[in-house]
Amino acid sequence: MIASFLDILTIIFSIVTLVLTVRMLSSYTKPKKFNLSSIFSSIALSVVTLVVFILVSGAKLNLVLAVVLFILGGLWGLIRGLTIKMYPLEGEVIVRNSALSLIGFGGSMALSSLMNSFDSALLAALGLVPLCMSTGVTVAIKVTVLLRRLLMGKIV
Amino acid sequence: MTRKVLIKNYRTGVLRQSLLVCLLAGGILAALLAGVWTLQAHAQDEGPVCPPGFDWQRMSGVGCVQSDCYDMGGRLSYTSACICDDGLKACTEPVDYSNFDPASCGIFCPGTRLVACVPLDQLCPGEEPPPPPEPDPPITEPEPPIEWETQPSGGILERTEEFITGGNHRPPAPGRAAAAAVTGTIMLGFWSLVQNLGQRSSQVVKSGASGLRQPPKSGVEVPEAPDLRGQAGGLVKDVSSVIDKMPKGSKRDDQAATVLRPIESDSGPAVFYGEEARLILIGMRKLPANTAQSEKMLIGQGGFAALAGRHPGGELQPVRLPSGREVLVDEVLSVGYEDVSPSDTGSVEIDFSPKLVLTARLSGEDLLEAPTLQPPAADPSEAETILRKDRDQDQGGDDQEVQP
Repeated sequence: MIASFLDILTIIFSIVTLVLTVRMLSSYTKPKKFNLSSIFSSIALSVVTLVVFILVSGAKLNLVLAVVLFILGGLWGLIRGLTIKMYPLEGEVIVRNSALSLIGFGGSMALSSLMNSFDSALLAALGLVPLCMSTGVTVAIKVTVLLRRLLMGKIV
Repeated sequence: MTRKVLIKNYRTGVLRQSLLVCLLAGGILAALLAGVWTLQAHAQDEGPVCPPGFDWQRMSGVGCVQSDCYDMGGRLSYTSACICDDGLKACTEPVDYSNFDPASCGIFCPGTRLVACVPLDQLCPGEEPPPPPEPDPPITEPEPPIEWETQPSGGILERTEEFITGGNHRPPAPGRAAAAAVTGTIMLGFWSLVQNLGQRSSQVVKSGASGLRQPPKSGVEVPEAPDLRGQAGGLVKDVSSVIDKMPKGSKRDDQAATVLRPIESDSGPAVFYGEEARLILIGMRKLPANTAQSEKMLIGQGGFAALAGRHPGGELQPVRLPSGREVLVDEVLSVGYEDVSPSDTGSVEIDFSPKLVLTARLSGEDLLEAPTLQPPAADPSEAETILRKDRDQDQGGDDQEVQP
């Protein structure tokens, strides 16, 4: 009884995560001024979310595999970060965030939550695969944008 | 009065922002409470009952943990199994299930319990020395070679699963899965909150009146501005006719989402394209300095039109808005989304849609001597009333007509 209720709760919150992701999409992808705190907060939050999620859920993924997936996602994010549009405008640098990273992160978060409810250690571990990868994508995109901004120098 | 209007708008914005923060904080708090309740509900769930001498520990690997393990000279492994130190032999005995129902502990029922740890060369308590080994029978024929093909075929899958899960075979408990889902939602919500709060201070994309600048990009088709000359002596009667003149199928520029694209024309109006909708900025008109007003100039039919007139000596004649008031804009400061805060004194935000906002400067020194000029609103509340009326009008019907 309680287990089924908890499963329903998991499904509900997975859906909420998806809705939240879609809701965030419109504001997240708007062109914004380059903001250092926003970059660092995104990196920190995505990494912390991954760690906290793994600790809370109790799902286990091979550490080596997790690191490899994170690096693979990072390579993907590096390429995506290089193609993100950045341009100077009136003394500021305007950046348009990638919808890919947000969709990937939110979607994989919801997927991982759902996979946890299937009562299978393997499925729970597989659910962490996209989450590790999308975290790598998000971190790499932000780091790439940060490096590109540093290379742009002072904008007059 | 300008400052009063701005301060009022600013306060309204702060109030709205505070309300948003309170709502999000409330949501997060509710989610946290739900998570705590979830964990508590799961913790109160009846767990397995272990046989005497064993305690149920939910977070352990074995489940039923021997309670007197240390008294027997052993220690608990990382799975809380009772084991002996290296170099010692574990002496165990079967767990007595004669007075205990094994169904109570299910898969967590322990098979043996540790009774002592002894050196490897010593016997366990009560253990009899093994009988002397019998002499090996003579080997008559060689042992058959091991047939690897006959080994269990499920090995690869099992090893793959073992690799992926890192040796963990226990699925997440429903309570932990639910808690993880709640945590993920909270973290994502927090991220959203941080992004939204940061956006207010980082999203403003300003442009000057003469140069709503477009980020450099090649390969963008530039639509032509509609020619409005000759329309009722320079007055635009029906904005829909203007919108109809907009080039169809114009290629949109992704970068011009908030930085609208200006198409300058010597005598015609400036036309701007944005992601939200087409915006036609036909002209601007000056009113006495410090008479900041906000007029909603939203015209339906899928497009937005800001109608205004310039100085009589300029290219365009004055235009009266559907509300009967004159447009009070003389300089475009920025075009952005509703999160743009009025940071410049003498500027005002004009809503074109729930999202798109045009910020314009109203503090012109040149006075318009047009006969159609109407006095500005006496106080900010009147301006608010006008704005509200215009919004009501816009909600009432999409197709509006501009009276000359």
